Amino acid sequence: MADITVDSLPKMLSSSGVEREEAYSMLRDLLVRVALAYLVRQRYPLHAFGADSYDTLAEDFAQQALEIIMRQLNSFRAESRFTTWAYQIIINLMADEYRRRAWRRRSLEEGVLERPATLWQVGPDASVERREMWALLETLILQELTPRQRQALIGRVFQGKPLVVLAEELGTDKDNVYKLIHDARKRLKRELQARGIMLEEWLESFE
Amino acid sequence: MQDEDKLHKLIHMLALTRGEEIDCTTCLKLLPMYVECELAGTAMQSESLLLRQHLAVCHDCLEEYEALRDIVHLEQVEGLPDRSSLLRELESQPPES
Repeated sequence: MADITVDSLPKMLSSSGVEREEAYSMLRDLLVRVALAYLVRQRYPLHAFGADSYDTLAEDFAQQALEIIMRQLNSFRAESRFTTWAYQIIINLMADEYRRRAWRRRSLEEGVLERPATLWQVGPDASVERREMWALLETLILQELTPRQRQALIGRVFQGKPLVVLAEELGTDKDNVYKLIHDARKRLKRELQARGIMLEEWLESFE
Repeated sequence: MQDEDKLHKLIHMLALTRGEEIDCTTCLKLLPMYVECELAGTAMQSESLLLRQHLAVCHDCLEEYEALRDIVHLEQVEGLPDRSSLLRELESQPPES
């Protein structure tokens, strides 16, 4: 058996034959254990993934992660340990899958999809200051943002939708959703500053 | 999350908003190095400010950063547990709902 260390994994995975197979096997084992360690940490129940066993679930995610890692092997720059880089990939896979499924469950249970998206409901005890904040922000969100910026911002901040869900709804990817929300935030911030609003003062009012 | 909390969250995000920000893909690419530097008590040479700003406004990436940090820390301190002991722990713990 070849002498495998974590540091030698990238080179061995790029090779062929027995050396590659052994490296692949070692990495698979590590990824399964990371998947299980992640599930321990998060305390996600099996039904959150629609799975029958933790073992199978971890194996499935490890396999998906391995495929991504092998495709992106040449992009590994050794700025971190190879395993840390690989662990980030499997954690991201599992986190996004959990978020998709959790949102789907929540939508069905709470009927979120059936209700029109409302920004908020001002409680009867809200101060005049709060009401004014709400009113101004609502006006800006409705009037100053593009429809896609508005959908992304409202979905993220007011409905708690994960980026991966918004990406599917908007027919794009997570980075573009982030950009939409970033553009929306910049626009709102600019409009508030133009009106002489000091965000730090608003924040202090919550303390 | 209560509506009051949502308002607070939005205002907080607006206050943290910068003209230039990195996206999630860039953040996740930087995370392995950032986590290792943090655990080693060293400073990441560049882009750490942008990374920290992204983590402050992106809850999804923040969650993944914390999980990666904890698992790498576990590996460094105790070693990754073996499969059997992790499965035993999963079978025995009451899950979050």
